[in-house]
Amino acid sequence: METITFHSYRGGVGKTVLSVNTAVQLALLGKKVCLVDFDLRAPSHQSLFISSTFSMSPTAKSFTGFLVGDHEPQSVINSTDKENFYCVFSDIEIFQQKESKVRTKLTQHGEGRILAKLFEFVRYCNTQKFDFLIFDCMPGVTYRSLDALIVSDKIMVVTRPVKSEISGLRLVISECYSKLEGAEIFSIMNQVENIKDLVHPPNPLDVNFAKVNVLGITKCLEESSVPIPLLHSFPRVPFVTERIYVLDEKNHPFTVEIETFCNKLLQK
Amino acid sequence: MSEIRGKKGFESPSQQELDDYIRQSRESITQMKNGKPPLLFKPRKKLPFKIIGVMILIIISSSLMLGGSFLELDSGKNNNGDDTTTTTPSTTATTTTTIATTTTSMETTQPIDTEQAITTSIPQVEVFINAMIAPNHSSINPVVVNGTINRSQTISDLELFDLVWILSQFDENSEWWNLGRSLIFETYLLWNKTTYLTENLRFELLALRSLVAYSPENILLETSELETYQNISKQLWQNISSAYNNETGIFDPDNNTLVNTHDQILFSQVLAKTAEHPSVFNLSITQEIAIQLLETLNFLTITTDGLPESFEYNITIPSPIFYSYQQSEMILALNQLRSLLGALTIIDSLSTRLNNFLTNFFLQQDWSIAYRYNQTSDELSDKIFLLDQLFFIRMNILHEKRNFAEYTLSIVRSTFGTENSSYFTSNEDSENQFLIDHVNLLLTFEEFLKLEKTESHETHTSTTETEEPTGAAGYAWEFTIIITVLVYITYRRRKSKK
Repeated sequence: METITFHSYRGGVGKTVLSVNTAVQLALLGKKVCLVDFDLRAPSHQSLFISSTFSMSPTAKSFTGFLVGDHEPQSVINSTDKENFYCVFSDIEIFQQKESKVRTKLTQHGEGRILAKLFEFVRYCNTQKFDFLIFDCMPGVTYRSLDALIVSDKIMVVTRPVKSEISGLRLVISECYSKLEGAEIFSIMNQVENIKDLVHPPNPLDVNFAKVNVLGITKCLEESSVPIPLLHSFPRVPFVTERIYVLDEKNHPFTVEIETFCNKLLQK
Repeated sequence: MSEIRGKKGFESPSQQELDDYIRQSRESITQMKNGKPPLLFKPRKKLPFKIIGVMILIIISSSLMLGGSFLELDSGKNNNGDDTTTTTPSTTATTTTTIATTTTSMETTQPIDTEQAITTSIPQVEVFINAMIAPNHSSINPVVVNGTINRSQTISDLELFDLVWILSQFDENSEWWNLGRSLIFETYLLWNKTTYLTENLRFELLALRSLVAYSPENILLETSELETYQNISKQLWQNISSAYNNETGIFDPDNNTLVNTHDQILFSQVLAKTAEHPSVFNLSITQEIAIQLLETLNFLTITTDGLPESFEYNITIPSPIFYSYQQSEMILALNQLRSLLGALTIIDSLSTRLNNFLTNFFLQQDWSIAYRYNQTSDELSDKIFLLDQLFFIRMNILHEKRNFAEYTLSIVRSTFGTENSSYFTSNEDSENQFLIDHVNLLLTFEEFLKLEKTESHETHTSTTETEEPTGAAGYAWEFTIIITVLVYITYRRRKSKK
């Protein structure tokens, strides 16, 4: 089994859309996949799956409940009508309760207990013969995102080629990714501007900026002290939103990109 | 590193902490892969300063011993318990340790006149509370952004229930006591809300606890309203007691409720109040239930000497995630049960046992200094909250352990109202606790002042019975030996952890 974490140094780069679509696509390719919504701060998978064409009964318990010791690993995994696809939901409701201590257990150092629970979950998934365990991780460097990175075999660093991303990426590489041992790190550039098929010709200045930003990210990755090869660049497709395109729209340009990406992933 | 930090609420490590965490995680995973239990690792602490501080104190105490000065320590009434499990001999020792640490690592070298400090702090706290509650009672749950109180959120029923319960514990007919009464019976009319009758057990426990917080004579309802109030209370009681297993003394987990100690505490508090509401509760039944609950608690705590977090846990070991504030709250609840059951030995022995357990916990963890309002402090422990400290203080006030109460209170007080008191201004996690914490703080202050008054009165009436002061050499020898032993124990513990 391979454990893959989608991570980024900041939010809004498209981790969720990429990880969900990747996981479903891998399942469509016959792999047994478990997708975990590990963005404990802002979980979104539940609403995403419910609004899709997925047929599922989200009766399983919350992953946060498992992490704090309330549930067993087998009770947090939802099965779906896709035979090979399973998903695990975090639970925002737990944060809204007055049980601030529960939240604190999740948010702070935790003396390694949450890491131990996460590792227990990875082990459990291993016994269940999953091919892929995919974590959609919260952004930034927090104790919980570190936990996911530490238990992973592969890390997908999702970036967006915008100017503000470059310095942050450089920092997170030198101060975090470079310290992780044993995991293969890949990068994904998401929402890369594409000049083709545009109705209005863009301002040449903006075109230049977009190129500079892509070069900036590329250079940042090349100069990294640990190898972070670029696995795939996703062109910006207008109106892509939080949906499962690989399931809902087979011919959508984003679906095509995800298929290409998954093929690359399987070859690695 | 700040540029890649997550949002507030999810703790972000510094570079050093991050390196430590990754290293320790790797070791922990290796250990787990080898079939061993995971490592429990702690945030980095500035140990050398503590050790240096303690060493300086050893030197000072040795000098005192030689100089023959008089050193008075721990004159309070410690350990009035009859439980044999713990700390009678070590209380003096560890009190001195905590005081020692104060002078070295707290950077507050000036001794604090606690009574004076509290007297000046009370108006500040009252201003905070008043600012949150008045003038618009419809929105009193504050969100603090950049130090400015934003009252855009409406307080929830659950928070109101909590608030009313705490306010009801102030002196009868006092301003704050009356505020609680008016909140539930006049402003928000919670007593007449029936929606919570269909809520879960926890919600119902909180609701009933607030409903019975004030006695029927004090709630000032008309006769017809009183009848409605009693009916709602009865209905709530039926819902709750039907989930309670009279034979095992715990709530039935099949009722889809979270079975844990918190429910037992809330239930104890409700039971304690039933004596004041004979028209709602059948007293012989509630007494029977209360005794069963006490026996269950007694049984569950004999092996552990303390209160397990959840009755679901293996009761042979205390839960690794132990909430000290609940332990203190249970002790306070036990005392309240006297109004229903009278003076029972089991209350005293259980209360002392829990107190000793918590005191040991306090001493071992040294969490008196672990929490500061300034959350960036290196001394911050992820387990210690203001609420833990406040309840610890109240527990010690109840058991007349003045030194522990005063010391912990001085820690809380020393940072209150200062620039570093960012607990109230920067901790988004605690926004829901904002108002509750302040009211608890005020209640703690008032209870301590009452203890002060009682003690000064006792001192005044017994001046003729004062003992001769012990010689300096005796105290200093004791002090030195104790400090040395503690330093050795600390060293051993750290070494064994490594």
